[in-house]
Amino acid sequence: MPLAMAGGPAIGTPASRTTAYPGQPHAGLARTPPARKTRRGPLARRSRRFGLNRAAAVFVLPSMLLIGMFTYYPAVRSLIGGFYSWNGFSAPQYVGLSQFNEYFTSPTFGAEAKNVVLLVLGWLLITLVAQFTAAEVVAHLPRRLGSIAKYLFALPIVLPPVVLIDVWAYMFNPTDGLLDKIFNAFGLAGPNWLGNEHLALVSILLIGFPWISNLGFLIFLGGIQNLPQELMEASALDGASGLRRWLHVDAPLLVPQFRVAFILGGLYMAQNFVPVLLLTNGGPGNATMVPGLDMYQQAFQNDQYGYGMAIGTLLFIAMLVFTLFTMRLLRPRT
Amino acid sequence: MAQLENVRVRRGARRRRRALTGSTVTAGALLVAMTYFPLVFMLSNSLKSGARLATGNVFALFTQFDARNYVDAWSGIDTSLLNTLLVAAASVAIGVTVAAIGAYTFAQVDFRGKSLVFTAYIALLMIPWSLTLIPLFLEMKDFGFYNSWWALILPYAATSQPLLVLIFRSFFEQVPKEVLQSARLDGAREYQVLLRVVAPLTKPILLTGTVLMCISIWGDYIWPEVILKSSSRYTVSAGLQYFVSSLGTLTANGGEVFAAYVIAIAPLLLLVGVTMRYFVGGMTAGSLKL
Repeated sequence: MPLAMAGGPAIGTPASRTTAYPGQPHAGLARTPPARKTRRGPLARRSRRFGLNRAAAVFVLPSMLLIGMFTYYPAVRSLIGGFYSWNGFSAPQYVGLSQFNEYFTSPTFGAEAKNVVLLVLGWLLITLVAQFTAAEVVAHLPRRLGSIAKYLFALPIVLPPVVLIDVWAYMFNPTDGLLDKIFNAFGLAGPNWLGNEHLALVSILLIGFPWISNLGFLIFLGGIQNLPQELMEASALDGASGLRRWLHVDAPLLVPQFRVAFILGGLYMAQNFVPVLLLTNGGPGNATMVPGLDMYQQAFQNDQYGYGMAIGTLLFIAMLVFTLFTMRLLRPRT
Repeated sequence: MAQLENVRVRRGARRRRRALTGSTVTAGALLVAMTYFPLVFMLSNSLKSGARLATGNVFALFTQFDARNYVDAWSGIDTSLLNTLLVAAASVAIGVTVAAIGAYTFAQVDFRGKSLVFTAYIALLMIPWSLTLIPLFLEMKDFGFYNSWWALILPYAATSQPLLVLIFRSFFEQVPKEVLQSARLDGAREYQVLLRVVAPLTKPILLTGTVLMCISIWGDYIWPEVILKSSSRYTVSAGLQYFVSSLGTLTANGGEVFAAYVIAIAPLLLLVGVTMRYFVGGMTAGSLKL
């Protein structure tokens, strides 16, 4: 779905109202009271009239209408739909909590829950380390090289996920895949990446290696480049260097960036079932089955729309808990 | 003496820093190489014939330049590329216009309940696409939009709203109020103020919004696959997958598959490459506003 990565949660406060070029025109007016009176009169009346003009709010309506119809309404319908059993043709039937129960007791639930937790935790670990390391490297490059490297890492962010997944499908291919050829070059036999139940989940995580080209990289880079320069110089003069400086000076100042990257990355992986759908379809066995894919299959292959929405609701609640937990855990210290 | 000591220390520091720069450059080059190596192989394979790809050495990069793959691949995905252009143009026209009008109202006009309405936008970012996927599908069926362009265009325009309104608003707020007031005093209507004064001043962010929408439409696979019945209407991600899976095994059809990947991403990389400066700035600014 569109803007999936951007569709993260609201974190912290929205942009505060900032007035650019503060004071300049006002100051000029204030210094000449008579002129101010004659000039400010109509201006103020006009702006007050406009400000009170309720009709102005009409401008928000087209946008509100779009999100109301295509985001809020479906969201509400999904939360309600989980309580109804519906195959899309006959009349929906109210079944209370039984579909939620059905999911919890389904034979695949255990595997799905385990897989999605492993995927999210593994993804957060490898992507945050990779993106932060890359951002530190780029920030410490000489200026010209740094901006070239930044653009080189930013460009693959826009690759359609399907292309990335397909290219990795080629890498994983057990007979003439690239990884297999690399293993062969060292005289080794390459593993059956996606067909091995112990390796399949790891393979899903491997897609996109080295995981730098993601929004998280730009977030970290922006944070590192905005660190207060005096503080960096002061800590360098104090002899702090390397890991110590990073741990005690850089990292605490970058908590807001970590928080955004953590939440965006976690929510992305929690609902991202496209690689599983295209590469393994949940297999081998249930080794890569995830809740999102189950939801998709129930709705669009088994016509169990109500049951699908019940799974969707549970996934949504899990993501909400994850977000609130992370926001508390990585609270900015004041 | 102390001065001499100082100079020596500083020289040492400079030497250390130069060594550090050297290893940083090496690390950066290594990371870039790791990021791009799948793409390099994709490009190299797309230029090899089937026989060469099946039996030849895959590590012999760019040893054959056979453009026939591109001709074959183009005929497989040209329709979906054109579909994507159509859908993206319509979605951007609706989405960016509506978001700009809304963001302008939030930034420059006061009305009762404004903060409440704005909170509704921010709350929207909490709604994941997986929650709305099934009900949106049912809703589109109710509207009779199943298998139609509108089923793509309207949701794309809608889902882009929260992010676009957020980033547009913060840029529109930086237009000095005095500039707007003087335009109003000259008799400009509100829509003229937005069109003639605000929009030209904030072109980069409007462009960023357009690019962000194009990227997400280009990359969307699930929604077109679910809501469209005829594969002839697929946009590029779904169309590419349809074409590639119709070809079967990878190497049997030579580089055709890889050529299709290259064709599918080339227009997007071109668009983003040209607007990179705006795109990186807008994306970073937008994400930190969250």
